[in-house]
Amino acid sequence: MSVVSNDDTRNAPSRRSLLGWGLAAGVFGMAGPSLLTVGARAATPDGEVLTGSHWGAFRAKVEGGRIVSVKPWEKDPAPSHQLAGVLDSIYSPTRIKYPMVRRAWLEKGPGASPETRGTGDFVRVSWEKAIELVAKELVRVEKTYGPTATFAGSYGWKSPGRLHNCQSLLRRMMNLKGSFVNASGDYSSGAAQIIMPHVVGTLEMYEQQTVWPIVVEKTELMVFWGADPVVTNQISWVIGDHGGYAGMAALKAKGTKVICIDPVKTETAEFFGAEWIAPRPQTDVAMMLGIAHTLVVEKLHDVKFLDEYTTGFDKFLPYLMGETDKTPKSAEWASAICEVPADKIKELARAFAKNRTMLAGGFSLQRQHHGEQRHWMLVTLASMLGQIGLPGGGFGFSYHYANGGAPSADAPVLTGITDGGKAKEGAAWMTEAGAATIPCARIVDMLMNPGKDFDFNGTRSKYPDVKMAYWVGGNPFVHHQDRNRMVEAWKKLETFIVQDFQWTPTARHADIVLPATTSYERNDIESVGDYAGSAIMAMKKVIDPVFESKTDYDIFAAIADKLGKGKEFTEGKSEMDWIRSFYDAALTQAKAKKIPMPEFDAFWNGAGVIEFPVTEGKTFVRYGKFREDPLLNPLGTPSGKIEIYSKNIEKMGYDDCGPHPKWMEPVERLGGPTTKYKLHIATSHPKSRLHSQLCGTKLRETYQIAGHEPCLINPKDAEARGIKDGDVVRVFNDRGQILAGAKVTDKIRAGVVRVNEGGWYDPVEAGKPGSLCRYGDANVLTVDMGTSKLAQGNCGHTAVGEVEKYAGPAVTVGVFTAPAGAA
Amino acid sequence: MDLSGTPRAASAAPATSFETASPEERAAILTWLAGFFAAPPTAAVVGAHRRAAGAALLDEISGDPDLGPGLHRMRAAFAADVDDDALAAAFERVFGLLFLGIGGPGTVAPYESAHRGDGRLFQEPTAAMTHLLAGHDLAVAVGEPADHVAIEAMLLARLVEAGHPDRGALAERLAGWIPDFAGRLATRDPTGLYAGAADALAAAARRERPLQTLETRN
Repeated sequence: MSVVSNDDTRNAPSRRSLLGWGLAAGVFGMAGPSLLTVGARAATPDGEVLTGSHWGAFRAKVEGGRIVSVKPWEKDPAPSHQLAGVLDSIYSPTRIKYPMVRRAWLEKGPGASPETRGTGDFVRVSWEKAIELVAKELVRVEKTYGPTATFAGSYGWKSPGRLHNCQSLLRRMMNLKGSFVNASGDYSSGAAQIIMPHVVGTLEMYEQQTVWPIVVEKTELMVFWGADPVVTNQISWVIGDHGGYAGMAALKAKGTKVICIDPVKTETAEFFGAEWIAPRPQTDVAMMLGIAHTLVVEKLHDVKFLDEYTTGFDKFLPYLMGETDKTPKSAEWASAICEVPADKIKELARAFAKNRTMLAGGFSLQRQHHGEQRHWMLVTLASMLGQIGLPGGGFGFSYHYANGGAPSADAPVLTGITDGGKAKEGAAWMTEAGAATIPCARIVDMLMNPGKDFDFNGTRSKYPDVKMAYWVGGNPFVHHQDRNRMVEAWKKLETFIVQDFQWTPTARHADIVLPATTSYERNDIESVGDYAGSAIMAMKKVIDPVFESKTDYDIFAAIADKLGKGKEFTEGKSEMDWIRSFYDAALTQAKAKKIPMPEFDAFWNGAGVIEFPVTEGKTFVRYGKFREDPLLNPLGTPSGKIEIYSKNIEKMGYDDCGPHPKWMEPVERLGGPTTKYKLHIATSHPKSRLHSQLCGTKLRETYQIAGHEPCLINPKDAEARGIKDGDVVRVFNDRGQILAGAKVTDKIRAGVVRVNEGGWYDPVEAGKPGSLCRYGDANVLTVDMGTSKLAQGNCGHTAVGEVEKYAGPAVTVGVFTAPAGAA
Repeated sequence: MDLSGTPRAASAAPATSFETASPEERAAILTWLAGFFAAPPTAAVVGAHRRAAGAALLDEISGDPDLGPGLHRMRAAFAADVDDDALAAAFERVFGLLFLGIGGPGTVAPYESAHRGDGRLFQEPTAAMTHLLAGHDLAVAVGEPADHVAIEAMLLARLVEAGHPDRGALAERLAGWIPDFAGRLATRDPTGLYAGAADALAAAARRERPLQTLETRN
């Protein structure tokens, strides 16, 4: 608590007080505003409230206005252990309680002393003052620098809910204000979602897979390549349904052969008792080429399928066989790069061809330099196997994401608040709005290079000169790459506004911080299951907002109102008006499709959830219709077929993404010809976080080592460096340094260490590039460059470095140094 | 009994130690210490505690054997070699880092829930304090849980001043967790102001227990 005007409660003792405490009591005491008031306050009624989260639906037990416990929704087939962190996120000591402004910004104006960002020197202000500061600054920047000086392409895993979609609300306000710089794509699949439309005609990353019941029945060999669905399916973009776990359990029960290709023996590999193949990271394309070469040499590839359903194999084949570059991509050639024995590569080729094989690729494959090539090559490999569109065969890029493959229900589409921009197909969060747009992962490049040309998917544009950024529902000071480059770039911003519910590293680096509620302190509505769509759920407010937090809708409505656009923003609707309108739109569809759905009041005041039946969704086979009749059901590519060779990409003439998939050396890799360091740093998705979400909760205590993010290291690598289990280690490269806690294990291949992404950035000296991160933010070490000129996706898994036992001065995570003059 | 208003001006004779101070004086000291956790001191408050009345008062009170160590630390904090504005700014920054969550893992939450349980806020102590306040027809007037150190201490001050029988139990409650709070501040508060105030508050809460017994006997 910080009572804004507290002088009165602790006023200066008068001279008289020196004569005795009795006389001092009045001025010491409660002459000012009391912290207490007469009359008890009414609390939220006791009971249970059903609501939802990225980690699944749950029932919250409320007593005296407090959530005292949460339990998974009884219809969740595989509840996540991370639900406990939900309670922590609401009641974390690091909740943002009040509007705060960085002292230098408040006292000296925008752009003042940017080096003090992150040092925690904030001044509390009232909501009225905060809204006024934000509105004035938005107007100042627009008037002074124009419409491309404000960045509102805020990216991140905002909370679910169709109304309090903070990123849509931000852009809705910005569109009413004037304009802004937007961002396209996402960090999850930035490379693949650009290359795949050229190859198969859709984003492919966020679309339904051949469903699990079909996989269980038909698939004979399941290959998880850079995917760990047992870990990552805990979360969903909407309310998690966890339908994938039932599929995986059934596949395991049937005894289907599973292979996991990953530098780490993953939870998925453990769950299935899978065969574990551990290539050098970033060499997957070489390994795939080696398999493809074997298929051709042994005449195992499906020529008929390639002829009928694909284009360009004839132009790819000479490259594969070495006719164009005198380098046959043989298993032996591949083995020298990926370190998987040539015999194993050949064995895989034979097994893939012999069995009904599903190649399930993870997003991780493409979050690397030249990431586009991996997904393109995997589709090419699947095309050569000729099983695309057959039940249980082909490829899938979403079995690990949001429970892709869980059968889709017969459900109406639930709409949500719009940002005023034109919607794009394929992903709900993508719209076309703003005066300029950059690929989302190029934000630091944009700040460092205003006016510089950049390529993107056949276009060339100039980076805008951005002076102000407004971030909601994201944590770029964890999810973006090369933290030290970012810290330097951020100094170019005159103003950085962050709206969140917790003091994330990003909030700590802001100039203005606005406290938002969690999902559980407001009303909303959401679907259950990204792919399953098994239900529509009322996300009823569980408790009143804590401290001075406000809902995202109310915050942006207040800013819009201050800008004279309040009515346009709200359209005169309240929170419940909007929720009702989303439901009613779904109800209209349901009636047309004869799907039973109650009226809104019965839904909201009743069970708060309406479930939908699964009928046709049980038998869905991805690309089944295309295979059945490619003329009647063509793909969205120029040829209507799978494009192994893309003339469109050829026309772009990029030197880092050619017209067919190929092996290209990444900027650095384990065993690379010019790579300085001897260890690859794997930065996988964590088991007990959603990226960086929940790192600031008690869950961290279940996995941290010596107070740091764990660093998995192979016993051979540990022994060579004198590192023992539990040691604090320094992981470093030329880009930065972090501390971590060593976990010595043979579940990681030699030459690779793993520090999961999402650990909160905690520099010893905030604002100083190169400062040691005490906790273990893996993105201090990763490369900040586009995957290629084509997609400009992030390279969050491209990093090499070294590890040593930490011998520096003792540090305690989160401890700050004394302010000057105050120690 | 109305506990919401301003404590009455004390009419007791000047006291020289907490133990011999009147209930009104003890209430005033408790309220004064609580105030350091309600908001960071402004430059005016800093000035008042560095010169003349405030400094002399700290000198006088710091002679108390139990409250003394904490008060000495507070006095040292006020003696930093910077002007009032700079010192107030430093106190405000550290207040945010310690109590408002800005310090992340370095946060020392000023709530009983955080120190008695697993670190979460709004746990059983919040309910207990809300219940206790309601029993006196009171509620928290600001957006804070009822187990905030300042709210607990200020309620104790009112109960002490009123001689209410609930004061012993509340003092027991405070004495049960403030030492842990003070202990964490001792290692994490670079200014010493909040660590000192918490230490003194812990001592005052401890002392309320025997004092209550003594007064009851009288």
